[in-house]
Amino acid sequence: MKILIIDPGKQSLNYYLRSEEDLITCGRIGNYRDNEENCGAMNEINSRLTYEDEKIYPEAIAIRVPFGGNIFKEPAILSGSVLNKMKILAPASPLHLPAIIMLAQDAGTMFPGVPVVFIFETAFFTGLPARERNYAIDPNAMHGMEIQRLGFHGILHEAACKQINALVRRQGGHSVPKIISICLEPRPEAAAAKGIMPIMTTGGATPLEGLFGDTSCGEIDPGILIKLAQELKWGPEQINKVLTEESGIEGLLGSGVKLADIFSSKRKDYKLVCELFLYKMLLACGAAVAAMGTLDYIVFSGRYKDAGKKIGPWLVKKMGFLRKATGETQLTYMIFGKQLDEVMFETAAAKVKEYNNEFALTPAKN
Amino acid sequence: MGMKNKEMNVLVFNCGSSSLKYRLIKMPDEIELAGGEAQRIGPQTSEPARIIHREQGREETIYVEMKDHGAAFEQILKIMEKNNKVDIIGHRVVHGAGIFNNHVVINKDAINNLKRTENMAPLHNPPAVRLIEACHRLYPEIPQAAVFDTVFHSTIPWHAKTYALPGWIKRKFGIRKYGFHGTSHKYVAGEAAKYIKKPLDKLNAISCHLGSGGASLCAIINGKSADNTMGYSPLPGLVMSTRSGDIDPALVLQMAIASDGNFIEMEKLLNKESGVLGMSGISPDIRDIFKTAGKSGIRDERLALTLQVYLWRLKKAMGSYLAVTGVPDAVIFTDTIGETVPEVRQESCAGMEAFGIKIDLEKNRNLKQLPADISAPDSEAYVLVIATNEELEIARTSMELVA
Repeated sequence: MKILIIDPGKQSLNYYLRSEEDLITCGRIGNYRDNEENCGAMNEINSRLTYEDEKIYPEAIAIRVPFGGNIFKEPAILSGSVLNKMKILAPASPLHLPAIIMLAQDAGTMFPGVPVVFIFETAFFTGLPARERNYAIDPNAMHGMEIQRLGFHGILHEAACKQINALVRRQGGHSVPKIISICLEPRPEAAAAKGIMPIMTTGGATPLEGLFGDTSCGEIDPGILIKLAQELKWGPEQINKVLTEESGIEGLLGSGVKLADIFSSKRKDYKLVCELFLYKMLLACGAAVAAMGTLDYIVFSGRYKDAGKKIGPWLVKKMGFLRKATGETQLTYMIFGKQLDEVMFETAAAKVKEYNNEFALTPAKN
Repeated sequence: MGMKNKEMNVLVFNCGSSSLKYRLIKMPDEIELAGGEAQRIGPQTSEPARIIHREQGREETIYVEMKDHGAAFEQILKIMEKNNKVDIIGHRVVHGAGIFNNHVVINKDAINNLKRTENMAPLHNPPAVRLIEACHRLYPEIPQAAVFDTVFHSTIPWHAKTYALPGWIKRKFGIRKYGFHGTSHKYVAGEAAKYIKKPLDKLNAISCHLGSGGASLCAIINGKSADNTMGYSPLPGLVMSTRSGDIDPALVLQMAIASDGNFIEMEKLLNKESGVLGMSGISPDIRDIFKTAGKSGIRDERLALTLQVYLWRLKKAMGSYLAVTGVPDAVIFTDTIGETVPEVRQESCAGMEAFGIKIDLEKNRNLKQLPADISAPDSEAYVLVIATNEELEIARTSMELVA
């Protein structure tokens, strides 16, 4: 099966055409929203779907969706009712959902009969307990907005946790593993899960909360925002730009330095930022252990997952003091090797198979 | 006899925006001689200004006009000096603002520097600074000390106090974690060290200052503050009576957009209308929620959620700091909620065996007197309930500084 995988960002999108075994082709389309009319981005992708000068047609299309609210608890196949639900959610994710809806509609037009699968980053976290989901604010003071913690790298967290669960079963284990899944992306996120049941996440109602990233500040005192607004007379948009685009590692070290760089460099200033990141990670792990009662595995995923080779041993050493009940697994760290497009391929293939089976079983109407 | 052993009466002031709490403590015996509170200082209000004074087991209310904190101070001193002399005055100052990394004896330079802190803590510091000025002007012969809540946290290391924000913003506004409730955390750490008979400079502990208003946790390593859940301001961290504690910064911006960029409204919402009050909709006091939950019909779901979020956030913060300290010598609960609500101690310590912590449910429920150890026999760490006494800590510090 060949599946076209689309990973839309705020400005650019990445696409991958994959089979079970291989990445056939991939690429990036910049400013894809500038050309929303006439199926602009999809046209462009379609024109590039070739291998050795031969045109390739996808058998399914998978689109990564950063936000599915509490509505989408699993992947969904494009249909009228799914689109309607996404339109209802769109005001809560104005930077992503309208453009994704447009892309999906274009894909449906351009590749008639090819199923389009939406894979939601937030689906994994819809099972978060209410005590973790809610903020300590007056629900009536929110101008009608539904505000809850959602988490944002659910696709990789879920896949990494599933792999550990499979490993435990292969090894003959019967207890549910307690996992901290650390997704090392430009906006990193640590989540705690019992098996594949999410218990806690550092991500918030948006991806800004939690660990700091390449350019994002992570968790900060809300009093600072008020100070900036009062002293600099900045509006929310201006503050948002600084917090999301000029903070994090960029704010600490200067332009262009990424999370992966600070763990592979011997520079003194980089090492200081490593210390800062590790400390925030340690706090997150401590909270996760308190949330789960114990800890068996730490797993790293994401495009900077190799930094896990430095972070993992450090965390295992720091958390080595944790007391274990008899029979519990000794704390271990692992790297989840698959990239997002591989995981999305597997998820989409399974969803299409399920869809096809369902379709095959539908009784014929008289 | 050295100065430090000389008998002295220390008058401790804790200044609010329209109130002034005071205690007169005889040192070094640490005996409270008198105490009270001046209320409704400033412009006339619907109720008259008054001083509620306690001494020798009696309480009296004295109605007297007090146009500012200086006037309140003069009245308090008059009442006090009927029976006692005042040798030293100790002032609680909330924020050292990075200017004061140590407590300080008051002189002209110190007053000038104190004025520079006002911008950083506009709600808390100005009345204290006005009071210190007035005391210095009216009674220059009485030595005074300023004792800062933030000083105990000046040992928080770089990696715990730094925000991942652009350097120019941090430099321009002195943005970093300052931490608060330091006087209380320091006091209970000292008392815990005494209780478990360990030198303070070897004590590793988690101090949970759970007030009926503000609340914070402090990680203590070798007797020094290593981290505090409050930050640049007293807003972040745990769920408090009316403060939200930690919240996604983008959410604050979204709310600001929804209220047409009105950050004053945001400040009010996050500081005064959130936390236990905002979630429950009925009371800022978590004790009321414990009492009412399960008995209030349609509100029950909201009250149950308030309790869950309050306790969950506390437990997670404890876990974070326990990862920093390792198995500690002690977990300490203090202040109104920490001392008097067994459910909070029970729930926050439940399932924490991985950190070497286990409480004895019976001991926890039937606390007779403080300090007390409520840990189970197989707990590796002590779990202590200690009554905080910030005024005594201020008296001790003032005495040390002045003597």
